[in-house]
Amino acid sequence: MTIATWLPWLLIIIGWLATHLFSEARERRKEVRAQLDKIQERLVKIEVDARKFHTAEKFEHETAYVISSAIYRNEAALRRLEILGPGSLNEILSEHRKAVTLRNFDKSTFVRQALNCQLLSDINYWTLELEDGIEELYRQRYPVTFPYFKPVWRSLAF
Amino acid sequence: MITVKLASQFSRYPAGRYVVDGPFSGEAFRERFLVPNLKNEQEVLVQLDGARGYGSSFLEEAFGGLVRKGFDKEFLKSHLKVDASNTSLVYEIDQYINEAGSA
Repeated sequence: MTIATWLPWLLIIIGWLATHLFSEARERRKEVRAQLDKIQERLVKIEVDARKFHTAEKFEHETAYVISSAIYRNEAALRRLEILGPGSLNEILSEHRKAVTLRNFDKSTFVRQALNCQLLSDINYWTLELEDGIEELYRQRYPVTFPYFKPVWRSLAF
Repeated sequence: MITVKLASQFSRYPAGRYVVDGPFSGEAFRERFLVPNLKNEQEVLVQLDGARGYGSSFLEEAFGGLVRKGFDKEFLKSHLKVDASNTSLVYEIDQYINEAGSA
């Protein structure tokens, strides 16, 4: 068999593999982006609900439950995404949860908060930090430059 | 080692800091599952998976409250283990134990 015979076939196979690889990566990227958008939307809603909860005249058990549940759902959704390596957002996730549910989150300690209080500032700060942390992981996994995803060999540490 | 599966043995919906906040509060969990075993110098493994979310006030009272109750931090590090697929919960609990009483 001469080179003139097998070279075209080799090029066809390489071309097909490259097209398949980039097509798969693009689809995966779109799926992850859609999931992240939902997570970011939920984060904004958690902040809005938390502001309403902490500035309400009296403790609202149902709202506290809704907020806790939303935080749980968001963290579970994040863990299911492959961009989140083990422990990569532990500190920010923890600080966000603490900002919303550590202080003034129980009936026994609840006091109506002022709109300019430190607690609401902290909630806003850690919400934005978490949004940024998630986007940073996404950018690392799917960079804006060629080949537009982080190849497996770049993940290997030698 | 004693294993405590929080979701099945206590509640799938743990919430609240003190007993007055509800029957499944951090204080209730600490007094029912952690303090008696740790007083007997038993090693305790708490499995958090299965519950539908944890408020930080629950976690702080259940675990940070152990230090305020007089348990030594080094003793807790050797006798109390926490397991969760959401590792940020383990991170947070470690913080409460390390920082409780230091403020």
